[in-house]
Amino acid sequence: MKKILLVGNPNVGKSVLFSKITGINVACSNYPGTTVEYTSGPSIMGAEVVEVIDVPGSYSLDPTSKAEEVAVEMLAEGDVAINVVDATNLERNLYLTLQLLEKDIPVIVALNIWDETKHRGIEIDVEKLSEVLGVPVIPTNARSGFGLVRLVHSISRARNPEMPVLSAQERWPRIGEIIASVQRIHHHHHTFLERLEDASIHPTAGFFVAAAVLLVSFGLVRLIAEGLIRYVMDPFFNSVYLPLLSAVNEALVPGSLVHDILIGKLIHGEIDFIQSFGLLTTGLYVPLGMVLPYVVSFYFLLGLLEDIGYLPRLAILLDGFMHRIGLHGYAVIPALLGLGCNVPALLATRILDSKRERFIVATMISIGVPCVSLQAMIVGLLGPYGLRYVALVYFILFLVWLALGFILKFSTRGVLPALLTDIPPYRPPYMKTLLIKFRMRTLGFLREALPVVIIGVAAINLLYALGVLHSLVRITSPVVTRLLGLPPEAVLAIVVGFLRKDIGVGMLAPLNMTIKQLVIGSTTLAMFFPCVATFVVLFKELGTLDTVKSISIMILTALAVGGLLNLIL
Amino acid sequence: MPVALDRMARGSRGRIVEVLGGRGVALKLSAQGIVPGATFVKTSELRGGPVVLRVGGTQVAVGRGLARHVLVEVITA
Repeated sequence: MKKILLVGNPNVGKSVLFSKITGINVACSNYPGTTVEYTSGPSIMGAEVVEVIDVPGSYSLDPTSKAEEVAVEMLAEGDVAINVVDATNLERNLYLTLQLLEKDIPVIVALNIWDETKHRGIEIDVEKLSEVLGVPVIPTNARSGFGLVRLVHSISRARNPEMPVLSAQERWPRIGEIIASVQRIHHHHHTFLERLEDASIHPTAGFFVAAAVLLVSFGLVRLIAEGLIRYVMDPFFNSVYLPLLSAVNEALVPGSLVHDILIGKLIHGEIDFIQSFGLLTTGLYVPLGMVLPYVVSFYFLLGLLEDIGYLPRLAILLDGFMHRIGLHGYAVIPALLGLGCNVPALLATRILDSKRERFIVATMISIGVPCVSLQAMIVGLLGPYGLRYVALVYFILFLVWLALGFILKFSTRGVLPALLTDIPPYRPPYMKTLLIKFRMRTLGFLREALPVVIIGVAAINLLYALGVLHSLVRITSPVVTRLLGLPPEAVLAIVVGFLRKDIGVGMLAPLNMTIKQLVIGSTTLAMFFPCVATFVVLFKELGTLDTVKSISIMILTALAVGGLLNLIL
Repeated sequence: MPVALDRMARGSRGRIVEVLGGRGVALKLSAQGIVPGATFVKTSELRGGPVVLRVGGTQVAVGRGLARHVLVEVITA
């Protein structure tokens, strides 16, 4: 099968183009490095089936980073390269184009984001550009689909012009000549977006913008999620689902194994969605009624921030601060993703250059960044006692996150590579790709969470009925009661936290704990051990030795912090 | 007199004179348009953080440690 490579700088729309050509949905965001692993998929071009490969974005073909090494390796295997170029940023993009033309592969150029050139007063002579480069150049707009048919039809005309090999020093002057002959920029007034771009990286105004963006985002996440719970989920569960469930409850023999597994315990003779802990009660209510609303609202807001292009600016603003904890600014992006789910957050650590940095960030995320499922449950459980307790848990986790950064910075060896990144322009979010990404992430949550929750709840009930868990409670009770000050049964919550953190926190509910115990319990649970999905990814990303190290740090930190809280609270 | 990029005033125009450090550093900067001879505007600088340049039509953030290795001359118009 013929292999067609999509090659280009980071953040030029390769992934959108890829989804349009192959019909496969992949995540796209407005910041460099969304595609950290290559994606490939089949497409039909003319009468033949070809394989289209979305190569990770790179600025050059000099192997100075992992992404670039991958790109160079893949070039050797491809039959045709579609060089995706950002038309609003031709000068920058031509560096890679010229290098590509020096290689032994036929090339065709897709001049993407073509419609934006008009707003920005950029005029490009496409025919002239094609003539200078010696390959076909097709203006495209991957989002709207403009030019894609023409692009696909023109692939057979891709050529290898055998350009002379230039040195890095010679390449930029050559690009200057090309730009002078094909591009004219008309003066245009600064748009509102451009003024906002300047403000958001201004040494003082930038921090106000950041505070405003984060406050508004968190406010909206809460507003949307609580609205969904109050007006959609709770009415559904209470008025539609509960009557059905009550009928099932009455049909089953109380105290029988089937009743215990499906319905769980009755609280004051009634079904309690949080405490009953049956498959059809807690097993469905926690993931769907309590967590899903937060998943939906978090991913909607995150997608919006990603597509507008705010995240790289936040990374730049925080770079100075992050250096003090041994990281550079880009490490905030995986941390932010981790507030949704730790799994994609760990995958996103690949945008960081060094192994040491990845180890630090991955460990810090697993300990100090609670995923949205965990957060939803903490809000649900502690919220009724007052929001200050919820805030306390966040504050403790944040302090631990910081302290861990300092400690890991001084206890691991290695140099921190300096930040170097281009800053994408703000772009208005494009609803279609935004919704595709949103749907992928939400469905991803359901696919991943529901089976684990259901299997977990069933397994716990079964083990409980068999008496296995009682011995576990007995063995661990000294640590749990003396060190952490929790009731012995809290160990079950911590164990279940290994399957899913949300269910783990939910298991703290029926233990009649004081608010102090709830704070200690949920903080310890958040830090103690990654959930099983996170564990698998951690293992894949870090390897055996570093995973063992990372997990030991987690367990020690959780016990130390939990014990300390028990003393001072 | 060339100065290091982080010593230059915010808002001023300059031209890259030399990139100190190894070949890897030079290549990385080169891919971002930061090569001897290139003109740029220093648009922002975060306290203790990166320097932001407008070069070749794009904004580029250069970490402080890296900025110290880039020697520039200020262009006074």
